[in-house]
Amino acid sequence: VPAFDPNQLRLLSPEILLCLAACTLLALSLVREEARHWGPGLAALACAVTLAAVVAYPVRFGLEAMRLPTDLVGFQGSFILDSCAVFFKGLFLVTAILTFLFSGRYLREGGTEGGEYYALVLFAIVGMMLVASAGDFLTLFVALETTALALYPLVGYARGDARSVEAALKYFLIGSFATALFLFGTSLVYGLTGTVSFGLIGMSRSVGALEPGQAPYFLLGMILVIAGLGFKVAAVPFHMWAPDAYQGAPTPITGLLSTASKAAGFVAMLRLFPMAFGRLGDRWSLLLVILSLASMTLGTFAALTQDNVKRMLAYSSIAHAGYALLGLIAAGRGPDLGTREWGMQAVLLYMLVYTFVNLGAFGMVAMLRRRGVAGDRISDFAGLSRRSPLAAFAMLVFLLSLAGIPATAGFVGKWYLFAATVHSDLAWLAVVAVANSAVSLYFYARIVVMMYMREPLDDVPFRPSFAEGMAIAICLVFTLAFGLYPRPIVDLTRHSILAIAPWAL
Amino acid sequence: MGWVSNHLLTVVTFLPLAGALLLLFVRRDRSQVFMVGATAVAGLDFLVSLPLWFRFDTAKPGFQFVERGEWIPSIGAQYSLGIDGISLLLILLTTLLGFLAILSSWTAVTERVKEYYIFLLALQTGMLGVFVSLDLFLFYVFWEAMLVPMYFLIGIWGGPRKLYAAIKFFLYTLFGSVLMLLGILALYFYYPKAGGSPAGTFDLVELTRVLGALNDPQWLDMQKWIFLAFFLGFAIKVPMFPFHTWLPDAHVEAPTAGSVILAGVLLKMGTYGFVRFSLPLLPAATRWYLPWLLLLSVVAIIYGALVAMAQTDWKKLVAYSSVSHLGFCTLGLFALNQRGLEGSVLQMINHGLSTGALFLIVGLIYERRHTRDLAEFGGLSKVMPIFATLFLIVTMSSIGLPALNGFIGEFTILAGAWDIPAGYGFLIPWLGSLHIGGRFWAVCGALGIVLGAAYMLWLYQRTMFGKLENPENAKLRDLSAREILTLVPIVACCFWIGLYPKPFFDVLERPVAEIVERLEPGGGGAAPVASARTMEPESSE
Repeated sequence: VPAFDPNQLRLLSPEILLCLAACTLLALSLVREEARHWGPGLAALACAVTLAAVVAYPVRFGLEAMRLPTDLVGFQGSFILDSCAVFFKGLFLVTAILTFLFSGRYLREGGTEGGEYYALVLFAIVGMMLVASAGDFLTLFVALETTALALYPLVGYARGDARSVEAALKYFLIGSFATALFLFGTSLVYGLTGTVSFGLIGMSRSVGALEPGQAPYFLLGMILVIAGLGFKVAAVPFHMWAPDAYQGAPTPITGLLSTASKAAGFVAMLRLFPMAFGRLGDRWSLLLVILSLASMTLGTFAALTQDNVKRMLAYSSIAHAGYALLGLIAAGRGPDLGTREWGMQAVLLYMLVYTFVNLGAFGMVAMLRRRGVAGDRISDFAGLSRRSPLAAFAMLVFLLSLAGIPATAGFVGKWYLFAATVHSDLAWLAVVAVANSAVSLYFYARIVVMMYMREPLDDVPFRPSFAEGMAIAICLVFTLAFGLYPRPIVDLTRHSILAIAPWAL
Repeated sequence: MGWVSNHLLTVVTFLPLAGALLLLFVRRDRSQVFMVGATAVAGLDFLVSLPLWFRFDTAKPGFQFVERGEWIPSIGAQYSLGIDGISLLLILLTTLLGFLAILSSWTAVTERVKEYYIFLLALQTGMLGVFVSLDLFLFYVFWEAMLVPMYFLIGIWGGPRKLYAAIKFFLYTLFGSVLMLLGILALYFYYPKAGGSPAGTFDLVELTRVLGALNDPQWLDMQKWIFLAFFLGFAIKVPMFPFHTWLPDAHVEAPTAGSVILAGVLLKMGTYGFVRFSLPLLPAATRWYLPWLLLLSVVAIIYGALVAMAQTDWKKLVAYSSVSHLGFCTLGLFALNQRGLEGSVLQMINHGLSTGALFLIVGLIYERRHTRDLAEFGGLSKVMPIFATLFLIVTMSSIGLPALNGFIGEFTILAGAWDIPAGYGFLIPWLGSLHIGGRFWAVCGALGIVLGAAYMLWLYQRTMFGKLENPENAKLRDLSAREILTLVPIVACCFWIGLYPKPFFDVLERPVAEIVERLEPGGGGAAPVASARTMEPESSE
């Protein structure tokens, strides 16, 4: 078998397409001054075309066809294009499109419009798409770094704002530290098994790596890898960067950080843990229990006292990482295959739902920005129901969905996670989770109180752009429609995990 | 028409929501449209719910008007509705009180009228959904979704401490219900292990068939935990002592219509939950916890009555009387026999009628005087004779005067409580092995009736009789035709149940008998005394 088969480049075609689009966008903004106004439109178009390329295969042949190994794997296992990867690539691209819709007016108001903004987002998305397909540690590392390097400047994109610059620096320093941990963990695992491929590590481990003298190093490697990925999903105790970075970053980028970037961390875990550390399920899931417990509780209780909405949503997204980890825990220690599949499916479902809901919430914060008003304090929401009943209703639905109230998609997502936890005989953990979920209502309700039970601070009309309105409408319809009739997304996620589920045996 | 009559429950449940959606498109400054529109929708909903009563077949076992549809097949959740006699009565109560509550709001609510009526109608759908769901997943969706409109009703149109009361109400009930969610999940995952179909189901009938009759030690252990999870959800809603602290706040701060719905219908969702889910699904655990449940019921009866007696705020007094009255409902419920349960369900209706009316009455006075301080009132019967008459009837109904509904309910409950086997109780060693239990519970209940009469009559005396000293009160006008219309249907029902309760007992007899049969150990006809002895929790220190 040749090491490099050019034929297999077709597996990478969506990523290549998006890369070219990003470069074109960058070049265009250098050549023509007014091109920056086309930024959101062109970037969204590029994502839409890429999305079409990503889903063309499964739409043509069905997700079932994505289970054939010959079609899935390229470059000797480095690149895996299974249904799970397609699911996440689609999710990343949709997130990017929504982010662009929110970005246009936001950047104009701040006077920081520029072509490189859109190109950087596209590069970050390319990185995330590669994460979803990574089949070995090297690809995963490069993909994660591509994402991170594009995101660092985006967080600090508002150059005039000291907070944004500080956020970027913090994100960069802590992110580099996490990368180092991840790389060190990888090197330990590689040193003991002699391979970087997830699948081969999973198989070889039983041969040598877990012999008495080596087991501690192998476990240490695994722990460091978990720590590195813990930073990506902002799980406690690796969450310190999140509140500052979320608050300082331009709001649409905060939305991207809290959804796609987090989902990228989860898809890496979903593929890595069952494949490479499959038979150590009870070990890593124990670590995840601790991370999940700490994230849910600390995230929820820290959010209670925040007055800045972005910071509050940052802590809330830490808590949500804790909930989503419940699914991985079930995938690691579920007593039977059914439970493990259930856990994986719950993670996918939750990421899908959470992406739309959280983007909607951050989008609303972005919409409140106008010249001279950052729009991210809780009091900026005062009387929104008078200024714009529809916007207030949308935000209400997003908040209820984040709190997991039924008839919203958030409930369906949480239901699957809690069910997975109960199913893997961790009832006590489920009790902690639902208790946190109930407490979280308190801080979401603070925004509701502002919107519905307070008078507006001034009578400046609320005028979102058409693109913003459309993006909010998409998120709102998604949240309500799949909250009432979740069957389509349940079935989609069910099919999407079929390719990775067997590894969880 | 054919579709409507085949999907009567769907129509009854979602008609208010459909009305609310229509009202969304009306301009917000046209408040007349919202008043009349919402009243018309609620009235129509009541009319549509009447055929349920006439077409209900008391001889048929199980659920009637059943509708089933696919919803989330991969987890076995269905859109499945159906009612038996118990839910039938509660649905009629809901549609009636919902209509009256909306009718009573015409003059009481003048701000943000559009949102007010939309939330009230949405709330109506949520409550009806709880009573018609036969699928636990669906039930839970309605159970929680209903909290949102109620939260807004208290939080926007409430009294001075509305924000505190609203979030307290929301958090308390949410905390209880998320634990119930775990209980539902535990049932769901135990069902295949117990021999049910491996696909899993949330269908109440199917779960009851498999789990209700299951008798193995592991399941009995499990039941105790599941019961606790359900118990918290329901007990907070009822509310049973000591989970009642949200109730005075929520009731007092809520606008009149909100209080009527809260007291009249919302609290019944808790007791209904016990009857519909805890008792048939978890019979052994119910018997295991029974002494404690009875104790909490009796404490609620007496404590609620004593606290009510000490109130100087009219509305707060009525709120605490609810705690006491709901104690009766749970006492009858946990008597676990035919009479106790029938009385309990009937008392739920009675309490809905009489306390709903009491809150309407407080609202009428508050609209006129903008105070509820009892010291401000006295001698009102002289200026408001019609009001005084209606208030008298409702008071009598609430304290259980024969010929009115309260008597029938309380009497039946006490008769049921009298039959509680001696085994269900506590042995207190340091009081000379004093045994409290059995008939002790009934005696406490009777004491509660006496206390109830005391605080209600005292309330009546302080407000209606005596000299008309406060000049503010001399100017009060009596009730308008619309206001009379809100109270008359309730008073009529009070007399109906009080004078001729047979139709109600007929409707209740069969479903209650089915539940009681499940509750008996082994499902046979043996009295529960024998097992009660062994299941008795050991004496408290």
